[in-house]
Amino acid sequence: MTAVAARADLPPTALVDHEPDIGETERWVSLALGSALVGYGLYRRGFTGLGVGVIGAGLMARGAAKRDPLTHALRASASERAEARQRGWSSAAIVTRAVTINRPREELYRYWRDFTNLPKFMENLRRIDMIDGQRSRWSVAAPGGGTVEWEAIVTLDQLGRRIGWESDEGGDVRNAGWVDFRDAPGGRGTEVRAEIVYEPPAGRLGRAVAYALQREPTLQIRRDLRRFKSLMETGEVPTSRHPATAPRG
Amino acid sequence: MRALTWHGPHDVRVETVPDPKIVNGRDAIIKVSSTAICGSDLHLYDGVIPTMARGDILGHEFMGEVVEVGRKVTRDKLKVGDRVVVPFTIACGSCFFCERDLFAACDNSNPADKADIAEHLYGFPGSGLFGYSHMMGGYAGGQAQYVRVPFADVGPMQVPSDLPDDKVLFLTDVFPTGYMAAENCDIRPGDTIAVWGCGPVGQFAIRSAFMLGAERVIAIDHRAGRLRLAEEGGAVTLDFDQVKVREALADLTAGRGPDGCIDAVGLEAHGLSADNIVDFAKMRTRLGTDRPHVLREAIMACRKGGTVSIPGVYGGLLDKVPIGAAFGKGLTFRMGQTHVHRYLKPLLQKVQEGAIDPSFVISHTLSLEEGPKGYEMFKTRQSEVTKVVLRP
Repeated sequence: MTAVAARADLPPTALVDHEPDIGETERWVSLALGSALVGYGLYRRGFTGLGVGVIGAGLMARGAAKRDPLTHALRASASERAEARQRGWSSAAIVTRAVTINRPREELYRYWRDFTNLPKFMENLRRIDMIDGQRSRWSVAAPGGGTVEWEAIVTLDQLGRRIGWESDEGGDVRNAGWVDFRDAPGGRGTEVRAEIVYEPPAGRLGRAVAYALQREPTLQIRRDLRRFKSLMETGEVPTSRHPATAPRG
Repeated sequence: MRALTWHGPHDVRVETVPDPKIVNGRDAIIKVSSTAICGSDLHLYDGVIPTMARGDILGHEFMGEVVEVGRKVTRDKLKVGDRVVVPFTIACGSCFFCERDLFAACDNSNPADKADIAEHLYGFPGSGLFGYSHMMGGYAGGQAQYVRVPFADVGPMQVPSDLPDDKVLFLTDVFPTGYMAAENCDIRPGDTIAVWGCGPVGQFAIRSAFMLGAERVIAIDHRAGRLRLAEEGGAVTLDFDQVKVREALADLTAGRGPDGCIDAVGLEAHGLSADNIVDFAKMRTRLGTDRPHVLREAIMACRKGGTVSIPGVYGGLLDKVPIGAAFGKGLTFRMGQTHVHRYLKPLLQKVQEGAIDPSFVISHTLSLEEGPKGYEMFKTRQSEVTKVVLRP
C-alpha cells in the first residue's frame, strides 16, 4: 500500500515508463531486418561485416525491447498527455524539481508570493509586474534572443503552503505552475517543490532545441530553484562570473 | 593585475588580466602576499581535469591583505587591512552542511550554472573551490596579485602579525588536509599508521598522526628527498623501488597490518559522461597504472577492522578495487575534500604553540612572474622540489 501511495506522489520523471515506443508491426519489421543484417554480417565478415552486424543487433534489440531511444526521448509521458487533454492544449510538457531550503516555510512563501521577486533568481525572467494582488504580467527570454509575454493569474493561494498560477488567454506561451512548501523533517528547513506545465512551442522537437540552447525549463527549474535556495539561505546568488556578466540579485 | 593563467596541458602563463571586483555583498578582495602551487594543481597542469577554460586563473592556496569588502561584511568579521589566510573550499556558513561543519559539502558556494556539471557526475555537487575548474565553481584562483573571495565573512581567518607567511600559508589547504586524513584514522594508543605518498599532504599527515598519538608512522614513496623529509618527521620510510610494500608492512607490524592506511596519492579519472569517462580511462592507461595501485595496496595491507583514509583526489570510476577484501576485513573508508574551516583555529594554535612549523615543506620560493617555471620544476624534479611558494 505504501508503495502505491508513494508512486502517486512522485513526479512523472521519477516513474519507469513501461509503454512501448513502437507498435507490433514495426517491432517485427525491426526484428526481421535486424536478423537479416546480422546474418549478412556473419556471412560477409571483416570490418564491413562487423559494422553491418552491429547495426543489425541494434535493430534486433530495438524490436525485442520495443524501445527506440529517439522516439522515447521525444514522446510525451502519460501524465503530459493527460495534462494536455485536460487543458485542451496540443501538447504539454511538465517540469518539476524539489529542493530543501534551510529557512522557515512562511518566509519562503512570502518571498515567492511577491512575484516581482522571481526575476532575482529565475534567469530567463526579464521582469514581472503585478497588475493587482492576483494578476501579473510576465516577460520571459525566449530561445534565440526574443521575448515572450503573458499575463498570469493566481489560481491557488494557501497561506504558507502552496501557490498556483496560470497564464491567461492571449499570452505567447500557455503555461501554469505551482510551488509547494512543507516543513522538512528534523529541523532541516522547508521542502520546496515546484512544477511548471507549458505548451511547448514547436512541440517536442522545439523542446529539444530549447534544451540545447539552455533555455529549456527542465534545466532552468533546476538552476532557478538552486538560486532561490542560495538567495534565501545566504542572502545572495553566488556566481563566479566576471562582474560585467554576473546575474542580478 | 598580473595572474597565472591556464592555457592547456603544460601551458601556464603570467598575463595581465582585469582586476577582480566585488560582485556580492559578502565578497572581499584580497591582495595576495603568498600563494603556493599544490600537488593537485599539477593535474590541471597535465590537463587531466575537465571543464577548464583558457585563461582560467589558477591557485587555491593563498593568503594576503584585505583591500576591499562588500557592504554586507561587518567589521567584526573582516575589515580592510586584515591579514588573512583563505580556505581553498568556499563555504556559505548557513546551509545544512555548513551548520554541521561539513564545509566542503556547502550547498551554495558552487554557483547554480556550474553545479549542474557536478550534479550529473556525482549526484550532488560539492562546494566551490578557488581556481579548480568550472565543475568546481569556476572561481578565479589566488596565483595572482588580487583575488575575489566570496562569503568572506565566513572563510578568511586573521593571522597574528608575528607569524611570517611561510608558517601560516599552508593552513589554507595542505596542513588541514593532512591533519583531517590522520584524524579520519581515529588513532588510538599503540596504533601504526601507514602513509602512501610523501608530498606535502603526506608530510603533514605523518606529523599530524604523531600529534594525534600514533605510536609509529610508516611512510611510502620513492623520491629520496621526500623520504628524507618524512624521516625527519619521525616516520619509518619505505622506498617502494627497493622493498615490497605489503611484505614490509606485514613484517613491521608483526603480521597485524597498519591500523590506519592513508592514501595521499589519489587518482585523477574525471569524466563528464559515459563516453568521456571511457576516454579518460584510456588516457589513464597510457600514463600508467601505478596510481590506482595505491588504493588497492592500502586496502590489502590494512589490518582487519582498520581504516583507509583518502585525502588523495579521486575523480571518476575505479577499476578492480578489491572491495571484497575491504568487506572481508570490515574496513572503514573515510575520504573527501577537506573541511578546512573546521581546522583553521585549532591548527593555527598548534603553529603558535610551536608544535609544528609548516614551513619545513617549502623547497623553493619564486616570484609570481616565475610561476610557469615553478610548475615545470614541481612536475619534473619531485625529489628536491616539495613545495613551491610564489610571492606576487
